Amino acid sequence: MTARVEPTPAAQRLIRAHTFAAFAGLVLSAVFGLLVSVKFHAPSFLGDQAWDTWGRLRYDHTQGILYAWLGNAFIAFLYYAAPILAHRNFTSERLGWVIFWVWNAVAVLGGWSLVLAGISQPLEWAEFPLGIAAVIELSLLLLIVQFALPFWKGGAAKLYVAGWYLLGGITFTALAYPIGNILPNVLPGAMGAAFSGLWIHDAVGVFVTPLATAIAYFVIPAVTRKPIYSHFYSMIGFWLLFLVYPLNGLHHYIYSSLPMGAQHASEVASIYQGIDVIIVVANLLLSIGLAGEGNILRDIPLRFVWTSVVLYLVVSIQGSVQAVMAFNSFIHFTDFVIGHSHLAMIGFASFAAMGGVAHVWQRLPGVRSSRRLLAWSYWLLVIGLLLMVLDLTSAGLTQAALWQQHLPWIDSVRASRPYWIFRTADGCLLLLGFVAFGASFLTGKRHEATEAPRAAAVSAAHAADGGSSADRWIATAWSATFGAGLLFFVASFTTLGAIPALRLHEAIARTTPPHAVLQLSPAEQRGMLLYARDGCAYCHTEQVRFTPADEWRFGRPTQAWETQGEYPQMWGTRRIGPDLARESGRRSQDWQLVHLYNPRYTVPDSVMPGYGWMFVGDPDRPTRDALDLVAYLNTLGRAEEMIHPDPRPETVEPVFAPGTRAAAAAADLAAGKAVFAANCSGCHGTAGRGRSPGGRALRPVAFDLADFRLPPDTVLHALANGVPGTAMPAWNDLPTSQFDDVAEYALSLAKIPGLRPSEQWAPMPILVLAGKRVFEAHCIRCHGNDGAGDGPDAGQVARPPANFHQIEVSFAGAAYVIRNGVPGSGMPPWPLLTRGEIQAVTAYMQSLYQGTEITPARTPSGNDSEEERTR
Amino acid sequence: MIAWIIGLITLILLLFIGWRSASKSFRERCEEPKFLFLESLGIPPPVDRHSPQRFFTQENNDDPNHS
Repeated sequence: MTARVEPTPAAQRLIRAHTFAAFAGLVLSAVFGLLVSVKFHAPSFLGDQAWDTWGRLRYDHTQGILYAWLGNAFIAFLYYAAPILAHRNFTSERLGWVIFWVWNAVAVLGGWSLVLAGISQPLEWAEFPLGIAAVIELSLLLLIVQFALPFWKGGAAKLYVAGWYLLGGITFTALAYPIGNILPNVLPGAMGAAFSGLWIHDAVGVFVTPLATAIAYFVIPAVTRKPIYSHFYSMIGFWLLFLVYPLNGLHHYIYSSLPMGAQHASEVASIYQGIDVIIVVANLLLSIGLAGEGNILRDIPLRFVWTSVVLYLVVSIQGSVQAVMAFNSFIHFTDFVIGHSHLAMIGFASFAAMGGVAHVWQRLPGVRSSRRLLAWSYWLLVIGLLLMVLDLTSAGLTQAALWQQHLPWIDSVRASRPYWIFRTADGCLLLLGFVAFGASFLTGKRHEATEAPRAAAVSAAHAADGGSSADRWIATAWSATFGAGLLFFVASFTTLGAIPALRLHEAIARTTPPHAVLQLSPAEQRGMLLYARDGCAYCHTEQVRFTPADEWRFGRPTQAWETQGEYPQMWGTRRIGPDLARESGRRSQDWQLVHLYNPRYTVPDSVMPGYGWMFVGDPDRPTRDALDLVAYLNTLGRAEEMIHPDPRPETVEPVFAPGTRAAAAAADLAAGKAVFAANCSGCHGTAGRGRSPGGRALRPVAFDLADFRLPPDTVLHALANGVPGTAMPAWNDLPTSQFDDVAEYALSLAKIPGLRPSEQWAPMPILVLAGKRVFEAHCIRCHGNDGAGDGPDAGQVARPPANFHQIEVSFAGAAYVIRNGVPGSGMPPWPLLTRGEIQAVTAYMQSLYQGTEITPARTPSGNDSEEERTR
Repeated sequence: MIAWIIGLITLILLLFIGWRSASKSFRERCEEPKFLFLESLGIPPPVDRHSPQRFFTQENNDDPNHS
């Protein structure tokens, strides 16, 4: 028989309302999360509408878990626990309904809808737009009036630790929330990031953690009917939490351009926080252990709470280790961190909330509850969570290991795919557990009204706070410490937010180059807003960290002065795609547009969502949105590039000599085909004709490797160095073996069959002579008198005209190009040429082909030593 | 500055721990809220309300030198 105190009828009504809102919030938020997970391995799932793009669903997933699920669950628990702990009823039922509707109808439903409509802000744990943020802050202040005022009237000396946690949670959250939501909108770039980092951690540290811990301190003695192990050490844990937690926040931006002192401080505070959690968890587990472990088996809400306490220790120690700079340089931005956050928000926070809500529900008269379904939900959630954390941790370690190696970025995406598929399957298990949890409140036996004392009646026994001098001393000491906590809270923002921001302000003024162009044009600014609303920053960071792996892959680290135009900062905390801080000039505009329309057109294994709604049905017809977004992408790193232009990349001369007996023996054509399919087929098509949707949309269109034979040197040079002025990038980060294999395969694609005599309208010598006349009539202005690509107009077209001494042309390929032109190259279509003329001019061009010898040099490779590499 | 803040936090908590060790009254009063909480739930205190035993913590019970 566990303790039963029946809440007042008003409290019962509000508990029911918030509990059902919490269930709905939990299931919907989990569905958002599941869709996000599915889109990792099926990016076009549900189509490519604006509202269901990955970024917007991800915003709604995290905000829903925080406000729709945990917020409602905590408030439901407050209506039960606060009157018992404060010995006074909450302020007003009417105020309770105001809070309920403002929180759910305006903040949650309004926030979700606006995010899906594209109105949001790219701040981690603060994605709802500013108007909704104001509503949430108002709700937090109303919660203080509703619950904190009765506590303050009750006095401090005899306040049980769960009451302190509830009081601290709602008070400190109301203080932290506006700082994390508003300041990054008025402080640019690195300065705003200093405050963003604090809120990212405070959302968990001062909102979720205190209220979850309050539930543990409440439910454990209520079920075991025994006092906790030590109330004194519970208070030590409480003070340490509020004094140290806010100092942790900047560990989200380690190795950034924030002042190194602040980064080190957050690292030390994170380790110190681990010590606090050990005190809290030891106290709670001793409280359960001394009362008898059998309680955990008998009482399922207590089982949820016990699991939450154990996982609180695990996730906190994990968090402390993650903040250590050496480890952070390895796992930051990977799924390892996502595993950590799921362990925190499900394993610790949600299990505590479920235990708390179920504990309260079992004490409401006239409601149903099913112990069997509750037990099922517990096991589904425990198994689902552990599998998910194991899966994401493994994915994170895999990604981290690949990022440290000189391999193409897309390799880490490919390697993550099995983990992401498993995560989706596991997410279904978790969703089932959540549904079972909610269903357990709607089925089973109906509770009868009991003779249990009502919470309001308790107040009479504790009306006075004790008048002894010791009581007064203790009350003074606790109150003073609470006041000190508030001061420390302010100090944390001063030390880790304001002071770094001021130092950054000075550093930015000192280090900004005099001619740096940081102003964005109106189109670029609009592009920045589009980038923000669709959650691009949640897959692509905009900060190159001061780590060797980042500098090798992305270029020079991001300096604070570069970020002074970003309102709010979009540094990001995770990488699915590569960092974009040095994107300016890296890709051609048409590549960016085609990639934006459908990322699989250019990167076959990409998991990025397509943004087809920014185009009028075709990648060649971008709307203003697409153009502005690409314009913004081309500003990233532009200022730095203008001040410190990269030296012209040294030309890489490949050593591989395709076509020779030794090279052909070494190269594996089947492997080369696989490498081609994974990396090249997006633009060149699987047959290499360059007529894939992506290849056709590029300007110039992708090269037709099947109908035009290039000299091996040219192919190898293009593979190693890219082709300036086109979308062809350098592939010098491919491992040596893959480079050789794909080069051999690309060369093997060219098939130049001759014409059968029956297809020729004249013997070949006559065809060549006739073709020469056609060529002289139409082609020599660009291609030159002898077809070497050096005609008088050659310098006026977008791309150097073809040199037919080096390119062997097939009859079919020439016919296609002559009829259609080569969009983006300067080669126009020649629709008036007859079939006979085309055949003749092709025969003439073929007669010019000479082929070239191959010059051995060296091969670029992802596995080469650093000295040998050239980027 | 952070070092000062963390040091100050530690000092304040050590002061509380020292006060608790030095003062039996403080020790007992610090533990009183957990018994009052149980009473609020309608659970009778483990021993007579007026007995000093009421303020014994589980920690005290673990201590073989406790008298």
